[in-house]
Amino acid sequence: MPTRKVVLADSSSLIALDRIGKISILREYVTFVPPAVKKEIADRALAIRPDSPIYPEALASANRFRYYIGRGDIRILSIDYAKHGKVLDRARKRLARLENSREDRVPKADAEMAAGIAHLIDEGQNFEVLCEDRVLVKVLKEIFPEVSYRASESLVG
Amino acid sequence: MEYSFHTLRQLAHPEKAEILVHLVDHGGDTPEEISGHLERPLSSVYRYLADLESAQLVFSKEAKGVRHYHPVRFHLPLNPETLKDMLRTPVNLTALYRASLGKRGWDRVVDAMTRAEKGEATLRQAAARSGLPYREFISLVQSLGPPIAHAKSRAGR
Repeated sequence: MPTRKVVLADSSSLIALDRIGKISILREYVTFVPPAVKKEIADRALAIRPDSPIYPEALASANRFRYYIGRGDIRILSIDYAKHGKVLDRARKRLARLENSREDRVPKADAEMAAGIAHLIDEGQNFEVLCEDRVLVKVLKEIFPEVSYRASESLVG
Repeated sequence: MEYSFHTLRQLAHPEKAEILVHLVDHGGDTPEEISGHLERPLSSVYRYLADLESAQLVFSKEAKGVRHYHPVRFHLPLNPETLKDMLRTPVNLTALYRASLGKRGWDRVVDAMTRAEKGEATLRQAAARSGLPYREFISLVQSLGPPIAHAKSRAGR
């Protein structure tokens, strides 16, 4: 049986795939997401105000993501925050510097993507990072130059 | 005219539907007169009219410095086939958000998008600046596509 490739996905890529109706492509991969990314795609999306123009889209996509998570097609990483604290700090510092803001204002999911990479490296996984955010990728590349990064477009061809 | 699911959502909103019925009864009216007649806050009336206009259910004309809103005669046959079509009709998110956020709010969103495009912020950092929830910001960014910098002028047309 062929082994499936492992990807660590950011919500930007998952939402992009879902918007073009290609989310099912993830069945070909073992997809991991950090807990904060899971919250973005499946939980916070349900809290969008009902009069928002994207309310129907967000609701439907959150339910699809919940289904995929339930089926195990999207797996949530259990990050050891104590172990990867240094990586989180490093990512937060770089991201804060980028925007000239305080470290405590760095979005949690951005920093958790770095911790997710550290976690998978620690597990000895051979994986790729799936992310549409060029700026976040640049920061992650500075910290983990050995990891390969791709956008969702490259998955669907 | 092609109706999207967005049109249906506008019509399903009791207060927007009430405004539409009022405009049909009066053949057109100003926001101030609608506000007084329906006993609704003027700010809400403006917002509802902007939403109805973005759904092409009303149109406005300015005469002697006063903006009058008029109903659009529509025929919306509802059956499983038309519902399917409506769900598949793409929604112009730019127009909808521009209408609901107003010029200042929309410019703030575009400025945030431009920062992300210039590499000065991640998408999450930009979303926080824009004032929109991350999920909505991502959908907007992905529906606009690059180059975002022209969104301001494009949407302003």
